[in-house]
Amino acid sequence: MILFLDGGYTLADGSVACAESIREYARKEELISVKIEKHMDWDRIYRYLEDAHAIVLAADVYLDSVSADVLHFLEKVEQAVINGESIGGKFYAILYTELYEGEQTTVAMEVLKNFCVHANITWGRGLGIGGNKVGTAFGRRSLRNLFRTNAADFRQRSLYEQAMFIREKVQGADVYIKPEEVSRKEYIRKINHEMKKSNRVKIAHDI
Amino acid sequence: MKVIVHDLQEKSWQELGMRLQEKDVVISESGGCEGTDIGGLMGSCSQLVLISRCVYGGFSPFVQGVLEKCRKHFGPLLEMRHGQTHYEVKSANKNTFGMVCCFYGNNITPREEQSARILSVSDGISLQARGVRIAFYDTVDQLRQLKGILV
Repeated sequence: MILFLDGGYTLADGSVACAESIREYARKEELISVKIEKHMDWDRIYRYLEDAHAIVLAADVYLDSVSADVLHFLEKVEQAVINGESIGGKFYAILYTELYEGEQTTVAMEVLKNFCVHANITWGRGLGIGGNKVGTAFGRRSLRNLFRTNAADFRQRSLYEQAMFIREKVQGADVYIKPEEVSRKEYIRKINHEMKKSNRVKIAHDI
Repeated sequence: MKVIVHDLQEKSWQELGMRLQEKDVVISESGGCEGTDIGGLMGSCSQLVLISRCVYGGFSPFVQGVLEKCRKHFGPLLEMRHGQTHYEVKSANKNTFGMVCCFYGNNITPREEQSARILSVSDGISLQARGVRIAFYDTVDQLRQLKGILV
């Protein structure tokens, strides 16, 4: 069974949701998805953690860290292990950032690895995804874009690869990706253009 | 004006005996921070002090939660800085405020210390601090030494 922890990956818009991607690629494996919140059913969570062969955390990164709710969750899990819970599954992370470079999730990835050391959980593999606004600013409005390789595909390929590692229960080197089809400069220009445009629309509505 | 964010129990904080000025603002779990314009305070301070239990080489949930609250003063526009993309900082005090990150905890491993250092410097760059000072203490009592670092 794969335990999918939704740590808040709301930035992954315009593409197939991460859990569905993992579920699709992992095929016959049962996938249970749990949203990380302040108040959770911990008896149920501990059962899932014990039964899972893989624990997958998908989360946004802000200021080089996962969210406060995720940190709180991790501390609770560590405490459970100290109190005798046994977690045999490997830990896989999929971290998202709106910033262009996937490497800007590296620090958050290290925090998760340090958690695994504390909780005596084996680290599986990390996937850091940058340029996560691709898909909104790079939509299919123009004919030119219709004939370009869909820039959002860069996430799907890597999610498929991550799902393979999860399905086969193996460890691998962490991977950090960015939307290679789009230059950093173009990404910034497009995102800022879309942001300013949506602000203008919002102001017009408010008036 | 200093803005101090800490995750200490109120008793431990009082025992540190920090000498604060009238304008200084302290944000803590026991003091509550609902309704406080944290982003606005951070954007106008001369020194931002983060005192945090070291959690896996990063900030504690409370301190991280406070940083998340200042999100609206950050972006959504992007810019290039130091060869990487960063959110545009709208604050009036960018490049003028100092940042101090203090981590405490027994058994902070070398790897966690390294993670915490990188995180602090990276956050300083993201928030456009003038500079970042980082300190580690084994116990809460040792935090008294902070008095020498704060302006």
